[in-house]
Amino acid sequence: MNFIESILLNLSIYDFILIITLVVLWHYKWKGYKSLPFFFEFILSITILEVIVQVYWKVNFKTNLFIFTFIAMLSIGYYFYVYYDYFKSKKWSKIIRVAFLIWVILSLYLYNFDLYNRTNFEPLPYFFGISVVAILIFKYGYNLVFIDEFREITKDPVLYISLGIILFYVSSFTHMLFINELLTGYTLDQKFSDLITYTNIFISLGYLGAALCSKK
Amino acid sequence: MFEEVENVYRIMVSLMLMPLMLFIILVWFIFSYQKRKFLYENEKKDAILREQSLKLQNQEAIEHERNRIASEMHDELGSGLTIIQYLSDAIISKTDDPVILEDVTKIAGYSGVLVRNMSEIIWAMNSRFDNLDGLIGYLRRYIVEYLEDNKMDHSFVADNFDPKTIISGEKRRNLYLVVKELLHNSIKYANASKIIIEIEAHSEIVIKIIEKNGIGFDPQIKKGDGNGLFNIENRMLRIGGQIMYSKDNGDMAMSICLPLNTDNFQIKPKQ
Repeated sequence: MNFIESILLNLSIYDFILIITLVVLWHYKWKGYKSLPFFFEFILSITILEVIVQVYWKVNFKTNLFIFTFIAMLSIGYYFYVYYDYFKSKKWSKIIRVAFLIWVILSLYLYNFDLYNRTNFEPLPYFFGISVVAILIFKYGYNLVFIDEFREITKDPVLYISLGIILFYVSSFTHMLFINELLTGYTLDQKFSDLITYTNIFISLGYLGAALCSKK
Repeated sequence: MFEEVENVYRIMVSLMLMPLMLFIILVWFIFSYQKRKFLYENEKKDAILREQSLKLQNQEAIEHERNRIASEMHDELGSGLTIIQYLSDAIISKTDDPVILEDVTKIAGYSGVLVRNMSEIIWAMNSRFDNLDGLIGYLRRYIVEYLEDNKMDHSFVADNFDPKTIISGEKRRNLYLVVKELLHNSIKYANASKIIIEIEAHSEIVIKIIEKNGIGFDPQIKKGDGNGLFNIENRMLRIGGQIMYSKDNGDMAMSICLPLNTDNFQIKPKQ
């Protein structure tokens, strides 16, 4: 089996959605439309990592843990940036900057500056990051309903990416929390492994929704 | 075994708890957003209504002022000019001095013209006439009087219109002046056997003046000759209308067209 065949065999539904998102964003970028900041670059990186690099890693190193962790960290970093860009108030910009710094320090400390040679997934940095992002999403929803001037949200890219993240967060929370326990029971492990594949669809759909909200 | 079952149970509870919480939050969010949207749309509607009401109030105030000026012009200036005219006529009938007679005749003539011009201005200013009934009634009176004074055979047809259709004072005055100028030209230059005036009004008012068996004219050449036709076209353009000319054998037709719908938002003038 050659590398291309491996890639095609490993493509799941959320990978297809990611590719469609990338095409949509490229099309809009070519037309001069704008979406979230650096969204095209982010989706391009994620697609390359998910579709190509992860398979390459799996084939050559028998595990994709490094790429899996790297994608998770890259995504959380980008979410921080999206909400940092969205919240214009000084107070929330400062909160996001501080939370981001804590998250980076915590990740470096727990990964012991060695992400590459790790053999198990460290859920704490991931949880801390995604939990802060979840708080930012709730703040976004609260602002939308009670603070900001009323506006139609159906064409707001932040809404779709927020929905994608929160649905993914809720559905993958348990899996991530009990990941080490799940590794012992192989039946459950398989079911939860499938579950996380499906939960990724939420986030990919969120990206696609945000991409479709590109405007001049 | 027992521990494993407990673990699975714990996982299942956690699995159910978070989606349930999210579901509640999402329902709350959608409900709150819809409520906010409803309030916002109501506020928007109120703001539009307030704005419209303000516009109406302004318009009413302007119309009130226009009517006041028209009424004062009629009462103060009009009566004064009429007195001047009567006094001049009285002097003319009493004096034999040719110098005084010539001067007083001029005074009587000028005051007559002033009375007529002022009555035109008062008619244009008075919002009571801001409708097709006011315009066509005034045109009918003027046209019939003018053509009869000049012994011109004529017919006036204006049946097909809604008398309540709104038309502003500015448009009425410009239409009247255009008709006046065209009739003046017809009497002076056309050498027609009869003048037919037809008025129709639906989405636009069309006033058609037909010179029967006249010499007609080429509007392009005429426009270069003097200011008359040039001014007429300018007047029509200013109020958003146009004038068209057509010639069929000995009949020359001039059609004045003006869209009417743009004035229909105005309030109905108080009678």
